Amino acid sequence: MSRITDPRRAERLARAVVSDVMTYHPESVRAGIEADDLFDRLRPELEEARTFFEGRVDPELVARSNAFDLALVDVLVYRSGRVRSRIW
Amino acid sequence: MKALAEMTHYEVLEVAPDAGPEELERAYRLARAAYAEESMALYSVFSEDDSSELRQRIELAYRVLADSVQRGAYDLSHGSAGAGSDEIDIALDLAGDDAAAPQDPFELVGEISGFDGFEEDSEQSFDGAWLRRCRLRCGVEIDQVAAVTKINPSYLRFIEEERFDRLPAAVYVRGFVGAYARCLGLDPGRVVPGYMKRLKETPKREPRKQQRRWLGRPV
Repeated sequence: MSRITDPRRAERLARAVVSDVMTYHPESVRAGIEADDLFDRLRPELEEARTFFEGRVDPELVARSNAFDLALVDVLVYRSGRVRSRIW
Repeated sequence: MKALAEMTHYEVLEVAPDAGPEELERAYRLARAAYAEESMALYSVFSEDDSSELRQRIELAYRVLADSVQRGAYDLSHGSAGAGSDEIDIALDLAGDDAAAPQDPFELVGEISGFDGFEEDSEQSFDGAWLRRCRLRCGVEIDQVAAVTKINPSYLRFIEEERFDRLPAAVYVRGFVGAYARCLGLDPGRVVPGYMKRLKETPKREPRKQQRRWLGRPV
């Protein structure tokens, strides 16, 4: 299986993988946003998601791109904007 | 008036996002009666197909909202958990361009080509975790598959998790899995029989042991 070298495809993969964390762990995401400990609470899931992402993207692209981190903010944090939290 | 396909489950039942179980039940009964097959009031307003679609949406909306787990997931994905207007404003501000220009799911799925999932492993069992990995490799979110296939995202998730006890009758699952496979550019002729074999082999009265799984591995 060839690795992804197109930055746009890598961004899409990152968003899909991070979105799945939200889909499969909605309560943990909500609680993490509320308590402002999202990344600690979901550490195993996010590490696994990152491993999956990095396993399918060209290492050079991974090194020079922050697609996964951007997806974390875009998907996990921004989409939870309606959850009451001291973050906002 | 919004098209039916664009309406949320709350809008279909005409209830507020924070509606309680009793209010939900009342709204469901009212909607069901209003759009009943024999309803004379609708006779000249909707075609038979439209009425049938409406009734299906009402049933689906009630099934999702009456189930706390499904409702929680739905609220989170649609941002309708009784949010105040100030929170919505914040969310829209934060979302910025992302909210202003969501990617068209049809366009996205149309870009999927040359998928190599079958080549990777010739001994495929076509299980839910495999379907999920295929979806992720395509870079497609579950809500995007739902938008294209019109299948409830909760059902797509149950298909991936193989929570057969939460899925409807096998005949519907067959259709769902076929539509899901087609959406990802997979061959339904291979995926559906493999998946249905797994479903059939799972005893009806013994739902598969629930396990927290992530990308196909127990966690």
